Amino acid sequence: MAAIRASSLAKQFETAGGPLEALRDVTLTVPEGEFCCLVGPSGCGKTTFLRILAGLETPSGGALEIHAPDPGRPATAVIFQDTSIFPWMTVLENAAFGLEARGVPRADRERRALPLLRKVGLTRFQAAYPHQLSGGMKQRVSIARAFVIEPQILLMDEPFAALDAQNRTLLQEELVRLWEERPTTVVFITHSLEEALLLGDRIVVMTAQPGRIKEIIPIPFGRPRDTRRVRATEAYGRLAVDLWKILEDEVMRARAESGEL
Amino acid sequence: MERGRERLLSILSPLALLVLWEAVVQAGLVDRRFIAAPSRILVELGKMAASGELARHVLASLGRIAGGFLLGVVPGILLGLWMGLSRPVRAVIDPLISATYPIPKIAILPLIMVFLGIGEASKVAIVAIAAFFPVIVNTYTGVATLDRIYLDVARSFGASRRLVFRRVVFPGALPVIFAGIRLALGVCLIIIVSAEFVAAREGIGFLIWSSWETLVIEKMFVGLLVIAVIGTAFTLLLREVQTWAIPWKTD
Repeated sequence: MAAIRASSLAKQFETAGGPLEALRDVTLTVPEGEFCCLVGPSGCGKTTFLRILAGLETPSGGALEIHAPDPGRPATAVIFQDTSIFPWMTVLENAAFGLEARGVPRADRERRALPLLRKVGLTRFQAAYPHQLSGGMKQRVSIARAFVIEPQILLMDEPFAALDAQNRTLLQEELVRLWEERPTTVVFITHSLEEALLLGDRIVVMTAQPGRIKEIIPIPFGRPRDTRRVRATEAYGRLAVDLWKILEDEVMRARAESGEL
Repeated sequence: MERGRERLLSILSPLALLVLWEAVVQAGLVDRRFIAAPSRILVELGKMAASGELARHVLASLGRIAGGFLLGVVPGILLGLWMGLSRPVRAVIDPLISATYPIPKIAILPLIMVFLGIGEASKVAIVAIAAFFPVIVNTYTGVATLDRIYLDVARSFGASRRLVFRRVVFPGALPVIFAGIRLALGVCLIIIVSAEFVAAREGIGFLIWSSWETLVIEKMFVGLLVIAVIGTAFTLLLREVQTWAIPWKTD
């Protein structure tokens, strides 16, 4: 069963310098329960695609079907790039915000959010405000906030891009663990091929602007996945190189268009 | 050790200034008709406090500030929020604000007195007008400059408009609103003293001005001392309120 079916999706933005074509003819089907990674050069429309999936943008053309059969659970939840948690809420209030938005009473919100905070190791910080947390901890709150509402589709927009390498590795491992406890459909945007290989079931490579799908590559590593073991395999290194060859042209093209070369 | 010494120095420096002041006046190095010695000021303060004269002036000024402040800040916040949330409202109000903001508020005191007379109402009104501007501008700015990501988050979780306002827009703008309130309180002090200079029979501004006119110089200095104390008290009070109202900004 397909959770997401996008057919010939297109998106143009009106900008001061004229129309900007962000997406062109994006056709993609994501089966239920798949961890799908989108990779592409900066400005390839990955984020626009995700925002359309999240209902934050409307497509200019094409059709989108989101299949969310369980009426008791929200269709989607987004984990944004950088720190999107509210500075004026405590860690616990932040983690429970999705439930608050759905009108869940406070006691129930806390009862459901606390176990997630425990899983991301933030129980001790539940009453803290975000300015007291490190970047990695803030992003853990953001992950908890999305998982708490048990969405049928989880959308992630480069959630670890702003973190240092050690924190990124730790959070990748935590994410895989959380996700494997309760596999839901995931669309995960990253500019890191390595990250896509470690986390995903399939990698969708996108072209430079306008964003189109260039290639879809299945990832051979099974589940449950031990990301440390995957890193050590020969296949991981080989795939990273092969993928880079596919992506390289697009990155160069994007750079040329932005005048960097 | 170092910090202890620094603290000692910062206590000693104003004391030293007072001692120097006293000595200079006592030695007759300045004209005593214009500069009162600190000791004389303190004695005068005691007398005025005992007779109730001081309380009368202070309460008159504080009453005008409190009334005007509330009448200015509350509509300022409400209208500012409305402007921040609605583009048509912004289009209507923004040019009016821009056109009237640069007018020094004290300049319209005569105009206000034409309408409200020379009684309390005109003083409360001028304070209200002075408090209104920084608050409406900051409130609107606070809402308009709120990072869009927070609105995206709220929308992506399906929050209702009411919840977005209550949990995202208002608290997100609150630090900037608060900065406006701080500005407003400072402006209120300036305005009430100026207004009382020219158009009052009591109040701290009246005390300072009438004492100068009649050359009762100790009383003038008492007025200055009191207004300084009130200004400091407001600052400290606001700091406390801020810690309580915006706990995520202060530790």
